Amino acid sequence: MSAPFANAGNLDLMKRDYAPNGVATESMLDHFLRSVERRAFRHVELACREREDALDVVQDTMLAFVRRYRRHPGEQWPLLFWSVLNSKLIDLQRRRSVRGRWLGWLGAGDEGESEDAIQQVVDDAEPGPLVRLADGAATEALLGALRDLPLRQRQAFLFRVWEGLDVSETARAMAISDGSVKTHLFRAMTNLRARLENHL
Amino acid sequence: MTTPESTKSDQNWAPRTRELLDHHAERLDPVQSRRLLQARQRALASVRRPRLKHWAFGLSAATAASLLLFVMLNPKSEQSIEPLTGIHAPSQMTIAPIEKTLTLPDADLELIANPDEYALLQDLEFYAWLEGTEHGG
Repeated sequence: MSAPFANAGNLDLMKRDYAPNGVATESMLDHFLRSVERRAFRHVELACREREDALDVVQDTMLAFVRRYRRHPGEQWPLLFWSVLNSKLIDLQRRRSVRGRWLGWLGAGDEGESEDAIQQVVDDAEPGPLVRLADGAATEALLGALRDLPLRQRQAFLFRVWEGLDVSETARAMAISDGSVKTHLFRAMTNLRARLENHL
Repeated sequence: MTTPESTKSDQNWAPRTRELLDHHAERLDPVQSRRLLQARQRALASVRRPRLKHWAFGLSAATAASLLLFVMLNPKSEQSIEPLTGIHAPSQMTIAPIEKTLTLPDADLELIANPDEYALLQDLEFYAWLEGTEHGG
């Protein structure tokens, strides 16, 4: 049996070039945040499925990043930003988990949850007539598959493939070992490949 | 386990995934775009404002607590102050009893007790004139 993506850590991915050089100024910070905010929002939205929560997480991430790391060299900003985002996302998941336990204990909460989740999968930003139908369908399939991944697998995939962080940087952003990144990435890609081979 | 074909396929698949996700990220509706802009501006504004450090609060609280403790533990501190050597200070710094402090001459008491006289007392011009005539006479 072949094991696709087993060498996912060795993928030759283009690194994003949005890290500023030199002494940080407010305009550089603004430019950097503008370059990542939309992807950050979509990134969180995939995990929490509620846009208000996603916006809150992105705002908290921006605030924490600016306060803590604005004086760090610009080359480090992407990694630090995604690291803060990952941390905020895990905090949100923990809070939800605790809330879910309490609601479950009180006999509420799970009712209709699966229906809501399905409704959330549908993107409001419907592809317009000028957008290629194939791309729209492929995107929807990809987003659906990503949403169904466990958090760490999805994070490893998004940091590694979407953001272009290398294995070591992904490990630092997720506060786990390089080996764990490779494992999560391998599983994520195996799952995605199985679901998406007809679309991509 | 890994085949060269699968790795090659992955190399084609990953950029395609990234492209789709990038397009998806760019297709935000205006409301969300505006909310993200506000979040970014809020984050940038947070470092412009001078923020009072936590230690300043701690220092203020500790100072206030120390002062309060000092006053509580030394309720008669004004009586225990020793006069400095070489300075002619009163031999006793205790406060006079309130009965003595508030003792008024009988004439003054009559002046305050009589409403007419009290009204005159409030008229400063009259009081000044009265004093002048007394001294002049």
